[in-house]
Amino acid sequence: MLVNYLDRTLEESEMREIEELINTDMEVRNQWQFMQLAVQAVEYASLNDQVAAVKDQFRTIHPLEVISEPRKGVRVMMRNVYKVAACLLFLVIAAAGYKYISTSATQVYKESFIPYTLGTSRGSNAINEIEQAYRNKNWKQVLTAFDNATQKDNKALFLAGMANMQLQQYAAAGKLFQQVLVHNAQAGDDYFQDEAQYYLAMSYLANNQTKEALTILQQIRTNKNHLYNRQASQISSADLRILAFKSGK
Amino acid sequence: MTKGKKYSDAELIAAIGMGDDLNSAIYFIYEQYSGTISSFIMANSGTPQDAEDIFQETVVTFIDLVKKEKFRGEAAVKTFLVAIARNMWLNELKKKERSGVREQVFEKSRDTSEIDVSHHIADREIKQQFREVLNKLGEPCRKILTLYYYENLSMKDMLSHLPYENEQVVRNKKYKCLQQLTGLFKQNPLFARLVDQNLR
Repeated sequence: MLVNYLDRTLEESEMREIEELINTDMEVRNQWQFMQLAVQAVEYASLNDQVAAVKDQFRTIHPLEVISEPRKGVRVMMRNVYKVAACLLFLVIAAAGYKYISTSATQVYKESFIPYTLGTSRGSNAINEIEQAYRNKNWKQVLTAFDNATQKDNKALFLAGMANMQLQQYAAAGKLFQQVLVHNAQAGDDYFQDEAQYYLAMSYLANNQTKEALTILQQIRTNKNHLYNRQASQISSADLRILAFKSGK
Repeated sequence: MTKGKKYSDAELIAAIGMGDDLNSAIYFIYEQYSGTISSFIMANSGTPQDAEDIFQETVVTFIDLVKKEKFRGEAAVKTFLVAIARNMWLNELKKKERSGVREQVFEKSRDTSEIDVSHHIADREIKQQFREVLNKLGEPCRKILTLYYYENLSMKDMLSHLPYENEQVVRNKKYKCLQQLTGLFKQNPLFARLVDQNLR
């Protein structure tokens, strides 16, 4: 009867009887709970198998790439260096002066820039050509493919922006990232939103547009759900304060 | 081939809910979000394999929640997936007992405005035990139970997938398989303890 109750093949009156039994009889309830666990396990394992099968199919087309990890070691080291520098700033005026002079937007950019490595591929043939060139790190070819593309969605814009970043064409990169943000604002979408926002800040830093960069970085640092919150938060606060002071922000 | 179909958030949730073309929906989720979430895991001390595993579990959990109507689009799919992945990865980091400092930083980065999905995420140990118990069940039984409880096929439709003569044989077989699996769960110390605690 419990199996029929589970499968909902009983009459309504019988269903109520079994419900009553489950509520009142400890042994029936015990059996009911184990039976539910059994069905949950079947559902979980089947769904897991189905997801794994689709993932395998996906991975045959888009092999798992080793995405460039952020330069954690360097950043951790730099953080420690800056902690030490902060102490020296307090104790030694000369060190403070050096720190003040040496901190620049481009320096912060160099320390915090993480190359974006493509993990997936999607979109039209033209976009795929852009992706392919990007995967090959052929930055000029990315821009050529982008110029020739008829469809320029946010991913294409973003990758073209990143190619410009790699070619140190920061102003051009920034314009493309801005287009991503404008598209999303118009469409109410968030496709490549976080990525474009973070790298727009990077392009501003590289281009010495400190005020604009700081405005975006502060937004990212306060938004805990932002995908680059951690990266933005890892930029030394002391550096950002010095940059803000220097830029009069 | 399941690739190529595009979905809005609402369409994706509807497709998963209806379950008609779940493979396309899963493929789309991989296309759309695996890169972003993998990058996120790897930016937080994860290896590529960690990212792959966590994303797969994230997708399973997400689909399960949508099917059970525990997520109906209250937040963007991307935001919800990130919240699930973040929560799973935090649990994993805790278990791996990696750098205390790194964990603290990661945990501090969460605030009250973030979506709380922790109550939706079953313990990994439970999932592991699910697999172990199921592995003790024979393949024919597993197939019968999958066809009935996961694919929701009728006895009549199940016949075409199974080497049995008629629906009554399938029905009897399915009954026995469920009883056998229930028995295996009773013998498992973790589940026995969980049920016992639940009954008290």
